[in-house]
Amino acid sequence: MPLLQCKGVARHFAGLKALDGVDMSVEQGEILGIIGPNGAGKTTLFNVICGVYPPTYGEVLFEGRPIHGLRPSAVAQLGVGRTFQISRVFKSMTVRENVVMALGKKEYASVFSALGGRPSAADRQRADDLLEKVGLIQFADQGAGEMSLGLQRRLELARALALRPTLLMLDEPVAGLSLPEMEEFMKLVRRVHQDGITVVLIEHNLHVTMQISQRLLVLSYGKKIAEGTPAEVQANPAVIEAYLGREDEEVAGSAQS
Amino acid sequence: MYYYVVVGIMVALYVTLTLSVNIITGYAGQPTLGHAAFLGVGAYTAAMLMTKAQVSWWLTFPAAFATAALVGLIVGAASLRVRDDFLAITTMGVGFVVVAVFQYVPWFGGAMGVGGLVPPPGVDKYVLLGLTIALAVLTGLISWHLERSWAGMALRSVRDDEAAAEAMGADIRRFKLLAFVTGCGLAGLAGPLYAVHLGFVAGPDFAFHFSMTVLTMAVFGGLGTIRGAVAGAIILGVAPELFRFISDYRNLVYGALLIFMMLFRPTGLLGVTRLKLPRLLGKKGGA
Amino acid sequence: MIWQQIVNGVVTGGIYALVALGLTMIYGVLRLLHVAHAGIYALGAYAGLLVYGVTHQFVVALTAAMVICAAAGFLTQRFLYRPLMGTPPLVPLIASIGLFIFLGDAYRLAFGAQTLPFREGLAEPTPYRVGPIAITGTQLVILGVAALLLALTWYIINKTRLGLAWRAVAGDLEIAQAMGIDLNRSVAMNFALGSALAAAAGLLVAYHYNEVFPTMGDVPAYKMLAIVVLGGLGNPLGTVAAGFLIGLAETLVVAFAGYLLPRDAIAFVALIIILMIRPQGLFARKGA
Repeated sequence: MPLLQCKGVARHFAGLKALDGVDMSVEQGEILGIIGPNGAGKTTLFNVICGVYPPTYGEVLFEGRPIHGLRPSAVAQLGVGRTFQISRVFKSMTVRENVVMALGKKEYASVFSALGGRPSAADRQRADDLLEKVGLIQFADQGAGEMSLGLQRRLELARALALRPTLLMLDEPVAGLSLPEMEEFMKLVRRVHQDGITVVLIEHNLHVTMQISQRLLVLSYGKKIAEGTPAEVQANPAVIEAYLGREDEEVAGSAQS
Repeated sequence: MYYYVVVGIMVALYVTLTLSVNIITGYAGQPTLGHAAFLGVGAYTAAMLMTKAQVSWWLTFPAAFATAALVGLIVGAASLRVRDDFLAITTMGVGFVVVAVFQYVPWFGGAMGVGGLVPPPGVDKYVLLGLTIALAVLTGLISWHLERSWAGMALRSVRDDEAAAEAMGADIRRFKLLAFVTGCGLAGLAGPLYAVHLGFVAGPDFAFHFSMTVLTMAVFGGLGTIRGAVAGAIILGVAPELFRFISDYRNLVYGALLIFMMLFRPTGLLGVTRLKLPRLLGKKGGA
Repeated sequence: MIWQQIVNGVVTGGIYALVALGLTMIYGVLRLLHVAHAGIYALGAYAGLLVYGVTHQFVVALTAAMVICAAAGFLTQRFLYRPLMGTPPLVPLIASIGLFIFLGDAYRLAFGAQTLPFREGLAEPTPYRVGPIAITGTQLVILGVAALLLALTWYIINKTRLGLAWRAVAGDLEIAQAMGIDLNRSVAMNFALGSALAAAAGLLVAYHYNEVFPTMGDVPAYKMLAIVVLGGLGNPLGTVAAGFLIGLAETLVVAFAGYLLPRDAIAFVALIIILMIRPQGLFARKGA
C-alpha cells in the first residue's frame, strides 16, 4: 500500500482550476520530487495534502485512510510533517523553543493534556539533538527571527523532524539559498531520508531536484503530465514542451513590452 | 489606613485584570478591547444572584466565573471567524453591547444598576483586601502554569504564526478558545469582589474607558509576561493616587502613555526587545 | 408616520456617511483603523462652535472647522502614523486609541466638561411640511451639506488624478510607488480630506442637536467603525450606503421597536451579525 495517494484531486479557486484531476502516489521510503513550471499547481497540491484546504473533488489517502478535509493539525497528528515556502519560524521564540514546540505535538491533541504537562529536560535534550543534526546547535538560544534565511530553513526542517513524521513534505526548501547552502541542505535531506523517512519535495531548481529525487512527478496547468525517474522525465517530450513552451511565452512577452 | 486598603483592593483587582488580558492578548496574540465587560458579567452575576435569589456571596464566585467564561467562549468563537483589526473592533463591540444590555434591560436594574450589595458578616475591607490579593496571586499562578505548559507553547505558536502552529499539530481553534475562556473567566471571577467593594454594579462602570485602562496598564507594563502585567497594574494603579495631576488628567496621561509606548517602546516597560518583533506587538520571549 | 421616520433616518444616515467615508478612505490608503477620527470629528464641532460664536456665519464656521481639522489630520498622519508604518497592525491601532482618549480629555480641559449649546436661544422655526412629513430647516441644511460634500468627494475620488493615486495606492502600494506616485503627498491629502469630512459631520451634529461636549466622539467612534466594516473596509460607496442603512435602521428600530435594543447598540449588533455571516463585510472589495 502506498504511503500517500491522491486520486483525482482537483482544486478550484473561483473559476480557476489550480488542480485538475491529479492522480499520484508515494511509496514508503522513497524520495519524490514534484516539479513543473510556475503556476502548475505544485504548492496547491501540497496544501491540499496537508489540509490547508480541502480538494474540490477527489481523495487523499494516507496509510490507506482518507485525510482530505482534515485540518492541518489533524494531518500533522497522523504523521505528516511539512516546511513552508516562506519562512514560518516562530519569531518570538528561540531556536530551541521552536523545536521544543513541535515536540509537544501529541500533547496538543487535547486541551487537557496540553495543560497537564510541560516540556521536560528530556525534551530540551531531544531538541538539541535535532539541532545538532541540522547544524544549528550553536544558535540554540538565539531568537529564531534573527537568523539568516538558510538557517531558518534548517530550523524549519528540525522542527518538522521533531514531529517524528512518517512523511516529510518540503515546500521549495532551497529557494533563495546560495549554492553552498543548497548543497548543505540537500545533504541533510539525504541523511533524513536514510533514517527511514519518506520525503516529498517541491523545488523549482531542477538540478537540485533531479539530483536528490528517486522519482519525479511533473505538473503543468494543474494536471500531471509525466511521472518516472529523473532520466525518464528529462527525456519526456511533454515535459520539455511544458518548460520550453513557457520560456517561449516569456521571451515573446518581454519582446512585446 | 483605610485609604490604603481601598487603594490596595483596586490595585489587586487591576492586577487580576491585566493578567487575564495578558492571557488573551499577550500569550495568544488575540486583541481584546472590551475586557472590562467580562468583569461586568461576573459582577452582575453576583449582584443578581445575591439580590434576586438570596444566594450567599461565596457561592457567586463559581457562578461569576462560569458566566464570564461562557461569554468569553462566545467571543472566542468570534475570534475564529475574524482576526486582527476586525477582531479588535468585534471585541470593542461586544463590550459596548454587554454594557448596553446591562443599562437598558430593566431586569438588570437599568441605568441605576443594582445596589445594596453587602458582603457577608465578618468580611470587612481588610478581609476583602486579602481576598483580592489572593485572587491576583491565583491568577498569577494560573498564568505561570499556563506559560510553562505545553498549552503555553501552543498559545505562543498561535500568536506567532497560525499556519505553522497548525502544521505542528496544534489546532488553533482549540487554543484560541482556551485563551478566551480562561482570560474572560478570570476577569469574571473578580466580579463579586468588585461588586461588594463598591456596593453596587452599574453598566457604565464596565464600559470602553475601563477596558482601555486595563489595556493601557497591560501594554505599559509589557504584554506577554507576568511581571509586565503586574508592573503595569501596580504602577498605573497607584500613580493616580500618588499624583493628583495624574488622577485629574487620567485620560490625558493614559492616552499620551499609549502613544508614547507605541512610538518608542511597543514591548512595554518590562518587555525586553531581545527578539525580533513577533506578529503581535513585539514581546520578550521566554518564561 | 413611517415616511417621517425615513426622512429622519436619512438625515442621520447622511451624517454617518460623512464621518464614515473619511474613515474608510483613510483605511483604503493606509490600511489603518484610525480610531482617533472620532476625535477629529469632535474637534470639528468645537472649532465650528468657536468660529460660529465669533462670526455667527454658518458657512464660515463650517469652512474653518474643515480647514482646521484637515490640518489636524495631516499632523496626526505625519507624526503619529508615518513613524509607525511597517509595525504590526495592532501598534498603530493602540496608538490611535491613545490619541482618541487623549483628545477627549484635552477637550474637557480646554472647553470644560459641560455641554455647550451651538446656537444660543434661537428658537426652532416651524418646520416645512411636505405632505405628512415635517422637515426642519436644520435637517435641510444637514442634507444639503452632506449631499454636497459626498458628491464632491465622489468627484475627487473618481475624476481627479489625486483620487486615482489613492485608488492605486489602495490597490497595490508597491506598484503605485513604481508608477511614480508621491506617496507622502497622496497620503497627506487623503488624511486631510478625510479629516475635513469628519469635521463637517461633527459640526452638523453639533448644529442638529445643539450641543457640544468633550465625549461627543465616544459613541460615534465605535459606530463609525461598525459602519466602515459593514460597508467593506476601504470601499467608499459601500461605506456611504452602510452609513445611510445604519441611520435608517436606528431610526426605524427606535421608532417601532424601541424596547428591543438601545439605539447605540444597533450598529454593533448589526456589525457582529454581519461579520459572523460574512467576515469581510457587506460590500467588501476584493482583496480587502
